[in-house]
Amino acid sequence: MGLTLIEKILANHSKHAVVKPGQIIDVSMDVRAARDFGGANVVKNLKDNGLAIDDPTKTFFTFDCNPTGSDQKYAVNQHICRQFARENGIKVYDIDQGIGTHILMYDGLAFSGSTAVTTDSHANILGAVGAFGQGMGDQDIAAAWAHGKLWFKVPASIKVMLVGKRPEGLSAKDIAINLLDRFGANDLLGYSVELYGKSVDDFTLDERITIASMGTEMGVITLLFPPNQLVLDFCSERAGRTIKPVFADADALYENTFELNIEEFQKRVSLPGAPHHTATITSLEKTRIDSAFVGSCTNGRYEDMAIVAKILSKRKVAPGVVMKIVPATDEIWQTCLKEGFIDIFKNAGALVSNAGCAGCAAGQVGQNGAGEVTVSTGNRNFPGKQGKGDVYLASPAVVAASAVAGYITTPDNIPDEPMIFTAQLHSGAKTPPIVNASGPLAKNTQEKSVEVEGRVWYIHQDNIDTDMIFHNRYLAITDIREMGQYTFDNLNGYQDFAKKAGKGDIVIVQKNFGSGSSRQQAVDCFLSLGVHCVLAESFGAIYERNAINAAFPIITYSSLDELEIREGDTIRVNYETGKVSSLKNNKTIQAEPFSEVQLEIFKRGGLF
Amino acid sequence: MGQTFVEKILGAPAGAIVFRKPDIVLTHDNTSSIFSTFKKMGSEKIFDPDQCLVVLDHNAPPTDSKLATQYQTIRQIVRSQGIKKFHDAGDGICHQIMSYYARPKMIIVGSDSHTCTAGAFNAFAAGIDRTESAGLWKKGETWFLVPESIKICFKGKLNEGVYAKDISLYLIGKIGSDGANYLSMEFMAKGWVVFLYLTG
Repeated sequence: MGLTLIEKILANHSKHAVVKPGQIIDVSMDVRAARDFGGANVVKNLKDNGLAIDDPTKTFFTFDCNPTGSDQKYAVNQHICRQFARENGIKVYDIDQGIGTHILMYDGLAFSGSTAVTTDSHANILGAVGAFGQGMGDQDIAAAWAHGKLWFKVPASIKVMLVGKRPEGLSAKDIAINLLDRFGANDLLGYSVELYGKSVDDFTLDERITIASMGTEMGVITLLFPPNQLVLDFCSERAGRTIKPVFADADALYENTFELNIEEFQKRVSLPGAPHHTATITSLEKTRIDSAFVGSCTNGRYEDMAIVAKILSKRKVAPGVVMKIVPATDEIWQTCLKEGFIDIFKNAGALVSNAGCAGCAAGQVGQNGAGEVTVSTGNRNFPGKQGKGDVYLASPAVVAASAVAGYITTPDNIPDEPMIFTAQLHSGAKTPPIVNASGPLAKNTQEKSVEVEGRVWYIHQDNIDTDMIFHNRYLAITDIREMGQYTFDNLNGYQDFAKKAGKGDIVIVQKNFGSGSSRQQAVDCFLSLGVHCVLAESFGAIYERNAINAAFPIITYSSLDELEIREGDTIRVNYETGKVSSLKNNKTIQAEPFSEVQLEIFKRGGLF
Repeated sequence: MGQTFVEKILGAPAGAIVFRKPDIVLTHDNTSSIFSTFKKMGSEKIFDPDQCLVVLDHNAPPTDSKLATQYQTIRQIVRSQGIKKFHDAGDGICHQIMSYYARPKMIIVGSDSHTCTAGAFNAFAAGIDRTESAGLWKKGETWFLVPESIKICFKGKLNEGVYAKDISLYLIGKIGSDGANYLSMEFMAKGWVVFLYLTG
C-alpha cells in the first residue's frame, strides 16, 4: 500500500519507512522559526530549561507580526530575540523583510517534501510548494530549536478533486472561499488535504499560496499542492540546487475523496465574524464600506498587487473611504516600486505600508473601529481580530473595486461616480458610541473660595513635565474621577503621591511646571484629587492656560525663602491678593494674584 | 513706539488680554474627545466648520481597536459637521499639513503642544488644550494674553553641516527649556524675518 503526500513527507523525516494515520512519530524539522510574536517566549523557554540550539543554520527569527514594534510588548520582544540571535549566531529576517512563511519559500528554505515549524498559525501555507509547514506554540518551537525534531501525530488524508474548467475571473481567493463554503470550519478538521485536478495543475504559485493559507480557516493540518514544473523551477532557483518533487503514491489510501465542480464556484465573500459564513457578491451589492485592506499572507503577493494596480490605475479611492495596501514581502514591495504600482496606489489615495502581516495581525498597520465596515483580503475576520468593526473577506480584485466604488462590488461593476458619504446618510445610520462618553467635566465643581489653607507638598524640582505629572500611558482615561490615582506616578520619589495626598493639599514646585505636552489630564488629575492649588516659580504656557480654563488655581511666586516652608507645613493662599502666609510663623510673602480673566473663570468654575 | 510681531497680529500691546477669532483651530486624534466635551457644553453644530483643521496623525493607522474606533468616530464628526479641512491617516503630521493652510498674519491655535511650528509660516501659533478647543468650536473665539517678545538675531554665515535642528538645539541649550516661557520669539537675519511663537 502506498503513502499519501503527508505520510511520505513525514516518513522521510523520521526513522520509519512507512507511517500510518494516528501514529505518533518524531519528525525532524528542516526549518525552525519564531516570530516577533512568540519569539521572546521561545527564548525564555530555552533559557529557563538550559537548552542549547541544535543547529543555528536551520534556526531563524522572522519579524513580521508587528515589524514597526508599535507597542512596548513587541518592541521589547524583538530586542530580546535580536540579542539572543547575536549570542547564538541565528539569522534574523528583520523588520524590513516581510512575512516569515513567504520568506521561507522565497529564500529556498521550504520546498517540495521539506518540513518547517514556526510560531505562525498559517505556517501550513507552505503546502503551496508541497512542503509540510506547521504553526506551533512557543514551547514546541523551543523544543524544535533544541532538539531539531518534534513529536507529531500523522494525520489522515483527504483528496479533493476540482473538476471542470475554471471560470474566467474566478480568483484563488474565490476558490478558497468556495471551499470554505462547501466544507465549513470543521469538515476537514485535523486532516491533511491534497488538492488535484486539471485546473489545479495550472494554479500559479501565488494562487497556491492564497488557497493553502486559508487551509487554516478550514481547520486542516495542511492543504498540500503537488508541485508543478513552474513551482519546482522556482524552488530550485531559490534553493540554488535542483529540488526533486515528492508526490503521493498512486495507490495511497485516503479516508475520503471529494469531487467538486469548479464551474459551479462563484465570486464570494466571507461575512463578518466567520470566514466560512459566505455569500455571493450579488447578494451583498451596495453594502457600504468605510475601509479596504489589501495584503496578508493570503493576498499580499505580486499577482495580487498587479490586479489591484490594474483596477486602481487612473482611479481614486472613494472619498471618505480609506485603503491600506501592504505587500507580503520586501521583495514584492521592491517589484511594486519598479513596476510603478506604488505610484498607482499613492495616486489613487491608498496608504502603503512596510511589508509584514499588517492588517491581519492586530498592530502594524492598524485596526478598524466599532461601527467601521472593512473589506479585506485577509484570511480571518473573527470578532476582534482586526479591531471592533465588521470585516468582509474578499479577493484583491473585489477589495480594489469596492474601495473605488465605496461599496462592495466587482471590477466589472465599478460605477462612474463613487457613493459619497453625506451627513444625512449617517445621521440615521448606525453610528458608534462616542468613546469618551464619560469625558471630562466641563465645570470644576470644587469650592470657590478665593482664600484656602492646606498642607504643603514641597517638591524642590524644576521642569516637572506633563509626562511626570500624568504619564501618556494613561491618556486614554477621560473620566476625571479616574485620573487622580495616577498623579505624579512617573515623578521620581513621588510615585505614591496620589495615595498620600489629601483633599485640600497644596503643591509647591519650582520653575517651568507642566512643560511638555498639551494634555489636560495633567491639570485634571489635581482636580480629581481635590488638591487646592499648585504654586510654582513659573508654569509651562499651555499648562498655565489649561489650569486657568479648568478653574484650577495656580499661583506664580518669585521666592518663598522668607516663609521657611517645610513639607507638611500648613500655608494660606489668597488667589485675589496673591498673599501666601505660613501658619507656622505667620510670615507672609507677595506672590502674583490671579489675573482678571483667571479670577473670572475661576469663579465661574470653568471656561464654558 | 512700534509693535512687535505678536502685538501687530493680536492688535494689542504686550500684557493686554484680548478676545480673537483664530483663523485655524487644529485638532488631531484628540478630536473625538474634544467632540464629547463639545457635546457636554450643550453644543450641536460647530460655530465655524471652516475654522477647523482635523488631521489624523498620532496613531495613524491606529494600532488598537480603541483608537481605531475613535478614528471612525472622527470621520463621522467631520462628515456630519461639514469640516472641509480633513486629512486622514497617511496624509502626514498635522504641523506639516499646516503648510497647506497657514498664511502670514493668521492666528492659529491647536490642541497640540507643537502647534507653534506654524510660526514658520509667519503666523501667530500656539498650543491650547482640548477643553478650549471644544469652546472654540462652540464660540469661534477665545482670549489671548498678548505675550512679551524676544528678538533673536543671527549674524554671519552658517557653517557647512550645521542644520536648522542644530540651531534650535543650540538655542534651547542657551536659554533652557523654560527660557521663552509664554514669550514670542522673533528671528531676524539678513533681511528675512521668521516669527515663531514658543510655548514653554
